[in-house]
Amino acid sequence: MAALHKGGRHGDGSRRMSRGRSNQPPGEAGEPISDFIRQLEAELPYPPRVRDQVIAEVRDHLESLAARELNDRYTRPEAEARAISAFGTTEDFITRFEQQGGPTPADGSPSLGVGASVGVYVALVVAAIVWTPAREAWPAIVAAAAVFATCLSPTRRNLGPLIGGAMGAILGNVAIAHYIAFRGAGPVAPNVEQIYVWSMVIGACVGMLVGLVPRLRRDPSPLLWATVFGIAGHVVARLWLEDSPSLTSLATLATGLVLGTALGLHRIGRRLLPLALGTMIGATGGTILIPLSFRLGLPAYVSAGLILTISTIVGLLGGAATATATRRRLPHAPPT
Amino acid sequence: MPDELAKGHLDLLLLAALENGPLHGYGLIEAIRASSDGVFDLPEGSVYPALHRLERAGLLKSSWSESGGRARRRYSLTRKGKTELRRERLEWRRFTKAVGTVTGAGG
Repeated sequence: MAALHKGGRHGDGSRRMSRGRSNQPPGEAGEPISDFIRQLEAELPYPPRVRDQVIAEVRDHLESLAARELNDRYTRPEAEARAISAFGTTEDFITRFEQQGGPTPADGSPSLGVGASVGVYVALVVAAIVWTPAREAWPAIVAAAAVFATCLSPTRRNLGPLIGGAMGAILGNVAIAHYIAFRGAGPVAPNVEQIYVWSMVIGACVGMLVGLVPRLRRDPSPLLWATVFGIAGHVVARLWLEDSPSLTSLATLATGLVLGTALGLHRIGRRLLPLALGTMIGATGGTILIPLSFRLGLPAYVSAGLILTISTIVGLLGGAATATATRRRLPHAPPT
Repeated sequence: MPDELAKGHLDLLLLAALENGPLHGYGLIEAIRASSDGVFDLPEGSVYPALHRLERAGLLKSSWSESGGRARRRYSLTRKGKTELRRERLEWRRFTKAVGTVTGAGG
C-alpha cells in the first residue's frame, strides 16, 4: 500500500507522478480531471449521496495535485494529466474502497431491517384500521394509499425515510379517523382500544429515540428518561384533547417505552430510527391538529383533509431528516 | 517489510497526523510524508477508504468547506478517536520495545 522511499519530493517528482497507471498521457489537450471525474462518477457503485461526497473529495485532491504540478511549469492539461497519473485509475480507486472497508453499495439504501420493520408497522396499522367503522375510515385509507404510492415512486431511491414518514402519517390519520367517528356532537374520547395501541406505538418510538442517544447509553437508567419524556408528552397531548389520561393508557405507554428503549439500545434500533421518528411526528402532529380543527369550527371532512395533508408532510420530513442523520454518520452534503 | 508495517498501521498514521488539527485527504498525505521525512510516501487516493472507515467507526468526524472555489472535506479526531490514538500509540511502543529486545536493535 505505501511505497516507502527516502528522498525529496520534487527531486523525485517523476517517480511519484508515474505511480499508478495513467488514464491519459501527459500533455494531451482537454480536461483530464473532468474526464476522470465523469468516468469515476459512472463507475462508483454507491447511492447518489455517498457518490457525490466521494466525487467531491477526489476532485479536490486532483485539483490540489494539479496545482502543485503547475508550479513546476507544466501546462494546465499536462499538470492535470500528471495528477491523474499519480492518483491511479478509477478501477484501482474503487477496488481499494472495496478491500479496505470504505462505503459499500448498500450505504444509504434500504436494508432488510427496514423492510422487516415496515412489515411490523403495517401490521399495526391494519390492526388499528380494523377497529374503525368502515364508513369513517376512508380518509385514512385514502391517505395511506396516496403516501404509499409516493413512496413507491421510481424517482425515489431511498425508501427508508419515506416509508418512515408514511407510517407516521398513516398512524396519525388513523387516529383522526377514529376521533371523527366517535366524536358525536363534540370532542369526545376516541375508541379506547385504539388509544392503547396508539400509546404503545408512540411510547415505543420515544423509547427508541432515547435508547439511541449516545450519552444516555452510559446512563444507568435510560428507561427512566424514556418514561419521563414519553409520559410527559402523552399527558400534554391527552389534556389538549380535553380528556384525562387513564391509568391503563399510561401503563400501555410505559410498556411501549420499555420495549422501544430496549430496541433503541440494541443495534437494530438504529435502523428503525427513521421509522420511529416519522411515526411519532406524524401521529403527534395528528394529536395536536385534532383539537385545533375543532376549535376553528371546520366541517369534519374539511378538517380531516387539512390534517391529512399537514401530518403527511410533517411525517415525511421527520422520517427523511432522521434517516439522513443516522445512516452511516455521513457528513453534511458538500456546499454547492 | 516497511510496506507491510505501513499497511498494518495506516490507521495509526492517519489518527496521529490529525492530532494537530483538521486536514483533508491531500493534506494528510503531505503531512505524513513531511513528518516521516519521506519514509512514508502513501499513494495518492489511498487514504480515502481508511478515512471513510474511521469516520463510520466514530473515530473521525468531517466537515465541508470551500477552498479555491471547490468543496473540501476536512477530517478531525473525535473524542473516541483521541482515545483510540492513545491506545494505539501505547501498543506501538510496546511492540517496538519488544522487537528491539528480541532483535537487540533497541526499543
